[in-house]
Amino acid sequence: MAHIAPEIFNGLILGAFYAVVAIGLSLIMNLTGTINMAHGSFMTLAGYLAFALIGAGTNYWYALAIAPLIAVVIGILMERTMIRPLYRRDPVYSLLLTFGISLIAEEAFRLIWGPNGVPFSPPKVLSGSISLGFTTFPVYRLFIAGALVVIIIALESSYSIRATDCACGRQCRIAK
Amino acid sequence: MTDFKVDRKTFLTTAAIASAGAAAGFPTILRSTASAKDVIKIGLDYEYTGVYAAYAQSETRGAMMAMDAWNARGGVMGGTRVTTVSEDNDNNPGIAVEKARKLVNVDKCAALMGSINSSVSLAVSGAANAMNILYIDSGGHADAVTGADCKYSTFRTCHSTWMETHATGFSLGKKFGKKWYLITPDYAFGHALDAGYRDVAKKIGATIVGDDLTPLGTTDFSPYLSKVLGAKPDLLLVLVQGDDFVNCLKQAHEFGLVGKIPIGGPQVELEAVWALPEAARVGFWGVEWYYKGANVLGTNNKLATNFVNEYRKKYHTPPTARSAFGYITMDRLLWGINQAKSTNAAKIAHALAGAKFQTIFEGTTYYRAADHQLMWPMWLGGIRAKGTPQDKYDVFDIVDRQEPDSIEQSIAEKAKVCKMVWP
Repeated sequence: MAHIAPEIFNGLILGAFYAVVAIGLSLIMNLTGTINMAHGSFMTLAGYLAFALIGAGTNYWYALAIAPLIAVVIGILMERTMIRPLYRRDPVYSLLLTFGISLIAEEAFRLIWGPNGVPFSPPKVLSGSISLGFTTFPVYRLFIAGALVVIIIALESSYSIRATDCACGRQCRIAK
Repeated sequence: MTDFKVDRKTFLTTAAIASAGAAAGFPTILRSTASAKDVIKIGLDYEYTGVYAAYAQSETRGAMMAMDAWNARGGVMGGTRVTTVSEDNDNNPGIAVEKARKLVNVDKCAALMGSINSSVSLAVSGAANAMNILYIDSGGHADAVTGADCKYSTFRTCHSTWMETHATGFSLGKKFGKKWYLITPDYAFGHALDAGYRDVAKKIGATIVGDDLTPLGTTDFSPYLSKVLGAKPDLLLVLVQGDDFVNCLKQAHEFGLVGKIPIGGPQVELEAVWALPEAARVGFWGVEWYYKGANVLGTNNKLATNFVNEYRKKYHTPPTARSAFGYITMDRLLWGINQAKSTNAAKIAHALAGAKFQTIFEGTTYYRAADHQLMWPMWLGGIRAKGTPQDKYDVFDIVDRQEPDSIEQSIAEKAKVCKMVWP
């Protein structure tokens, strides 16, 4: 029975991980009507880019800022060239297109970085674990949960689009 | 959902694109049905995608090196060249069997080799036997492949799970203590390892304080690791492999287990250690082969040093145990075909069974006639986080060697479960 509390806490933190991913996916779906099956590929791309940047000597925090930006640029290019023509069509089209892109992306990652994992650790200040009384917990996972809180606050305070409404699934569309 | 009516224009455009695509692929289709009489094809049925993709790549590389060596010497059976056809089975036994049948019936492969996943090995072993095709299991460890499901047409190169658990269990118990916690992959391989360690535990009076079965491809081990922290065992036995091993050890380090609870297990692979951050590179493990050291390769073993040097030159990383499995398997398969002067499975099997040979490790070895298991030693080692100043890949510290007869079940014990039926 004493084991329940750490498991519930762990589950909540894991939920925070999925929420960080899902907010992006949900924003895209509600703003553009696109079911983005390649969302995971973009996150993977940003991860590998961060690994490459750190390998080239960049500091973790710069990599954390730059890698997603590069992924965003690629996302913008993809939207302009491939997704935009599909807006007036059924969502199935964008689903199929992004599914195909995810298959290509997976193989491309395997070709570039190999099938084996690549060693990647968080920086010293975020590594290790901390005692929370009822359990010992990794600092890095708490950092990600903290990042989720920051993301939600940032979305709440953006006045122009009422973005949390979009992220939480309520109606909002860009004008067509 | 809007109704899709395909209009004439769309149909014609799509058909044109599809035909162009098929035409682009046509030469490939033609090539694979080309006459096979001047070439012998070996089918490779491996897990090129998924949890074990890195191991599949290593085994294939080793196999290709052996094939190239035979072709450089003039091929088999007096001048017939050898080529391979590779198929991905995605860790799925059903797909693996489909691919095996395709390799034999469509590509006309003379023999098959593969796989990493024990469930796949068992499935392909059965399928190959039904087609009377020789199959050498290069990397699937579960006992059943040379045990309850042994076949006259199946041989196995890598060590069995019994060998792995009995090579490591006694040493680990003596070194760390008698309260064990197991994290086990929930399929044939994991269950066999589990049974092996339980046998050792019974013999030395150890207790299993926890045993968690994890699905293959688990990315998050936190629920199991927090249980381990609570159970306070003397030893955490990590039985998962591939990407699961990397995730488990990484997270064990994140949760503060490393340094607090000793970690060990039946096998560790270089591919997995290279993927781990340095702080997580810990533990005391079974090692199936290593690319350096006189206690593994022997002294003056030209075959071994040539293999290591050529592999390193070609692929820029040292060969791993998986590369060794692939190399030995292909090398002996082609030897068997050459010796039998035939691609008939029974003839190759008779040639291979019991035939003694020397290869890329110290000593003489053979595929045991009773169960077709390759009888070779296992080594034990600790991990060096950083490698050495001369070689960043050199992360194993080999400390001991166990001879095959002391770690595998005897012929009499195997005969109770393995009933080999010859044609």
